Amino acid sequence: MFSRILIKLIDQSIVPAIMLVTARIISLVLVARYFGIEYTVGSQGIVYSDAGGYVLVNSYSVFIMVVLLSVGIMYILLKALLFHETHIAPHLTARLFSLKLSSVIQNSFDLYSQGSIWLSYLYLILLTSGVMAYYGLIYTWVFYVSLILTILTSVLFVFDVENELDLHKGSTTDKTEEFILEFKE
Amino acid sequence: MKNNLENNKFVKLTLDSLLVVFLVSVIILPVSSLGIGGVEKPGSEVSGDVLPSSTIRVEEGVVPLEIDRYMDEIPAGLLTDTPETTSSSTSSNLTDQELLEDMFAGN
Repeated sequence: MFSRILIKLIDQSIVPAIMLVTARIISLVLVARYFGIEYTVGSQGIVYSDAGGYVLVNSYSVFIMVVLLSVGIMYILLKALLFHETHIAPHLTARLFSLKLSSVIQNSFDLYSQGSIWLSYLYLILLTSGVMAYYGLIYTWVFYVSLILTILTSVLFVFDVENELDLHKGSTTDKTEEFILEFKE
Repeated sequence: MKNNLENNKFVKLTLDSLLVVFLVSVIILPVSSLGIGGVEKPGSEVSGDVLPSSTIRVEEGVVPLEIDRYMDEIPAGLLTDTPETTSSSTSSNLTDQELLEDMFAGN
């Protein structure tokens, strides 16, 4: 009844959403305490006494969110490059099974749905950080760091997708070659 | 039979649309959390029952002080800055209430 892809995307989007919101709230409080910036928690959220302190706390908070997202995407990319079921090395498969870590091996559907969700979060935060940097609500270096991390992770993700496409092409070629051999006989 | 199929399609489309809306809202949620936090605006700590600066609250037993309006009618002696030069010795014995009543007696 429900679309399988949509269900999967929703399933994959909940964990990073909770992680990001939690990271945002905790980082706003912890960074303010670390730098000794006064703040009050009320109906308007977390309110800081001076604008400079707010920019500092906001910058580090966005930076922490971007770093967490990047770490998550790197983990997905690691799984995609090393533990992808389509091109995992046989000895690695055997070792993972012996260590009872077979769940690390994932198929393309799981990996790409995860990757697309985490990347969309990163793009949205990059966009928001750009707007915030433009209006002076965060330091500009936070935006540049976000931009670099987004480009890096996107490129690595595209590499994995290209590998996957090449593998599919390769499997088609193999079949053709098999057919030629039969013809020669 | 055909109606049944069309109904199924319609139900599927509706459910998929709801899922898309839900997905978008879940994705937007962390981004909207960036709006948490702000700067305290100057004077924002004063809230509730606050009157404009030009208004003087009239409380029980207090005469409203609309000094500007009656500036011309106030005797010159009362407007001196130094109280010791005031010619009227009786004025110092008057309470504020009596003084004001004297001032506006003519109105």
